[in-house]
Amino acid sequence: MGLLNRKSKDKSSAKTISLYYASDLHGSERCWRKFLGAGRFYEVEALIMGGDLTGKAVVPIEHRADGGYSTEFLGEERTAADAEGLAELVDAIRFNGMYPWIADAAEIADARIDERVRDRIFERVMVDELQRWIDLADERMAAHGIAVYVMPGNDDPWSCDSVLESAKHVQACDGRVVRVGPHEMISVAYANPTPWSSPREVPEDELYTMIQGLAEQLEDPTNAIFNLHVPPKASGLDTANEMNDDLTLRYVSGQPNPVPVGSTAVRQIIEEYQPLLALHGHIHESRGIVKIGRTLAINTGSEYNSGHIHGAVITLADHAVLKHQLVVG
Amino acid sequence: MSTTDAPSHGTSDNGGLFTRSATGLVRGVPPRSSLIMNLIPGHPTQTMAAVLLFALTVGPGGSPYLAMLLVVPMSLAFSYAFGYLTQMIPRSGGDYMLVSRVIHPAIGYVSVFCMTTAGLLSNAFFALAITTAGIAPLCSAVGLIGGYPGLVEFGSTVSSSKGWLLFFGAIIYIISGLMQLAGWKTLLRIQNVFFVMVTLALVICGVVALFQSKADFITNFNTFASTFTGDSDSYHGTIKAATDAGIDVAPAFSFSATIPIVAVFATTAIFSYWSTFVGGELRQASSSKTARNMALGGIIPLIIVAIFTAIFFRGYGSDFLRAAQANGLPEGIAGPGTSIFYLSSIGVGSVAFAVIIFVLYMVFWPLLMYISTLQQTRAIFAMSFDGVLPQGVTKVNSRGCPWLALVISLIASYIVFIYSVWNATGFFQVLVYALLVQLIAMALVGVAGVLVPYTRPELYRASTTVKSVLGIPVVSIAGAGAILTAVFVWWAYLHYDALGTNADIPKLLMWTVGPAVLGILFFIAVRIIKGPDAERVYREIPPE
Repeated sequence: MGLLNRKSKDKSSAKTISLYYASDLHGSERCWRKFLGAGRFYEVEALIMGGDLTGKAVVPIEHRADGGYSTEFLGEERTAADAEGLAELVDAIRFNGMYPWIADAAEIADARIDERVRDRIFERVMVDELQRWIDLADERMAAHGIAVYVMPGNDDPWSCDSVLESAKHVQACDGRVVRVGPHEMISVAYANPTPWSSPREVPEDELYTMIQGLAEQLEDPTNAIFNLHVPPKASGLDTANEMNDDLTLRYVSGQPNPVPVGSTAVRQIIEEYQPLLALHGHIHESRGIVKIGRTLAINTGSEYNSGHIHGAVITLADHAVLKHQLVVG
Repeated sequence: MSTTDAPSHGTSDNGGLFTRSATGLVRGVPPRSSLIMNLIPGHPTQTMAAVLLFALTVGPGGSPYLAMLLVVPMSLAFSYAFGYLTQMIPRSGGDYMLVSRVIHPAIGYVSVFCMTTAGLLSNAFFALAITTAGIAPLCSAVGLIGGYPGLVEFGSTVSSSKGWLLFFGAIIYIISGLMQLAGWKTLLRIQNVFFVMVTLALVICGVVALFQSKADFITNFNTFASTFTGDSDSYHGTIKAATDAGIDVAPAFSFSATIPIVAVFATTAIFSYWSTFVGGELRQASSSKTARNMALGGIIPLIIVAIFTAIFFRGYGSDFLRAAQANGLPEGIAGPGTSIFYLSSIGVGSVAFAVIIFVLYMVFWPLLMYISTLQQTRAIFAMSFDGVLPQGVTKVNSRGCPWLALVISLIASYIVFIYSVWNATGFFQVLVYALLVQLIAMALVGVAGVLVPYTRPELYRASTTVKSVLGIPVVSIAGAGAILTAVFVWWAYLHYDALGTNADIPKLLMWTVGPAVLGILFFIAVRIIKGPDAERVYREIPPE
């Protein structure tokens, strides 16, 4: 169905819930705000965030003795003479999913040579920024009456968990069974091993056991949502460029070599339990929709560093997906 | 939190940033890899084989060197407009998304319809070229040099027979399709082998022309030709015949005559933006790396063409080349077209040489066709993701090839090819239509470049392309240059009768403006049928 809406064959099914799913914001505040705005924009009842919330880079901004600010950002020297210029610079940094850190020259020099100092800086800015995000979500989404489910992803450090757990309106859903309307949902933030040794990686057999442990708690897996950060192996939702051990791209005949990097455990679980819907992120380049048996599996992809949020608007019915649409906002 | 309690994030100082170990962060990308992708569309072989000699006839007195120099800023304008926009929106997927995001989704459809039509026409051109610029001259060359009159006759037949054109065209479609169905790994290996082969063909001919004196070429040419013409000096006979036919084979320099040559060279020289930026998610340190790669992909072929043009002018004589192209070689040795490869084969006088050179060169056309088809399959995917085309078109085979989208693209293109053959659209005219309709899409990218600092200020300010000259953003300057280039090329093709484009305006409009109109109508139809769902696919969410 192309020009027609993608609907289930059972058109008499009553809608149970409409939801918006997105993933892999990697510190982009603009995308987070869009994620929250998606609720009213798409007129859905629930928002699901599939993980990888935190950014990958901190941009040190030197507060100079003359009162101005300067930084090297994306290879360019940028300066700001006043607060207004600084605000613009900070916005540009945040737009790219990075964290601005304002400090004097000595502190920055210190951080450049001492990894422990950098680690502390990362920890602080990530947690602070995530707390701001959750506070905003708690305040606004409660007012709008839109349910919000958030889990970390493999790239998110452990310190994120306490921020999510302490949210008032936002529901931390990793590692537990929650209800999204009448549908049960299990969520797993972990991924199979990657070349980057991210915080939440486990071998495939462990990942299988982890997910199975949750799936066994479901009353009706065939009507459930599986919110699994890493996509299933060789599904078309998990194609990424192959890496060398030194984290350079591996080239074959002069070109990057795309390979499936998803999880065999996730694939096996989906094939065994055949949930209604499987939601994935992790591989930003592999936006797509596939059917694995009767399960509709979606990877929304990500383009966080251009300020665009990739998502999916999905309408569910009892044991059916009424509508689904990939959107870019 | 004490120092010792801080968890390790594996952080590092990375070119001004502090980065942590996180999925997707990739170390620097060697520029040569994207350069190869950018070199293929404008490979000097295409210019030498399809346009150089034609350019000399449309602009007698025009300087091909000056023309190439004037094409450089045109190529740069498109490279930088496209490159800066791609750098700004790294994973956009090409012109469709760039134009949709910056201008309007309706204009995005105009762009994709024009670009896709250009792709279909280009594929039709490549399918024609395999016969008219490949098999036919190969048969003629081998037949004449080796003394196989049957082969000569066959070469003449295939170049004018609709049936043979369709047959060999179908072969190249099948080869191109099989290359892609084999999957990315195999495809890339084939691509690189073909790239080397094509380059080798040109290099060998250049080396021969460089080290063979003009006197030796003339002697060899005359020895070869005398068997068929009975003339002991067919070389100068060719020049004289052209002169007698009113062709100026040694015209004085004319700047005005250079202008149409600029337009002809633009046919192959302004498409070096086909690479996409790969290298992880953090925008790379150099703000211009993407655009620079694209610019190099446009300039390097032009430099190579200039060098080889000088070599062939010196080796064969510019007057002789003009005469042979404009008036043909003497009867008996005249073949379909007078390509450099044919002349080189005559100069060497070896059948084996002719076979090797032509076989090495002919793989260029399936190579180009696969590159061209990538755009069509990408457009089909994008439309499927947007819910406009059925989801099933994104099916991939076990090797990761989007086989259904590929089949659709090749069938659509073959239909265009059949029309081109049956309608007797000229060999060069197919290429010109492809160029002109693609220029509409490329001009829209230029418009996007002009507008992006104003329509998407946050995106622009957050990017690496915030440089300005006299207060004008460089991306806007590049965009304006792209628009002006498109307008100039359109004007040149409509103004100069020798280019043959203005001879059939209705057909021209059908292939150029027609797709643009279809794009608008398609957008309106999608809106009507899908209602709000069609709009929301691209509408920007107001941030909370």
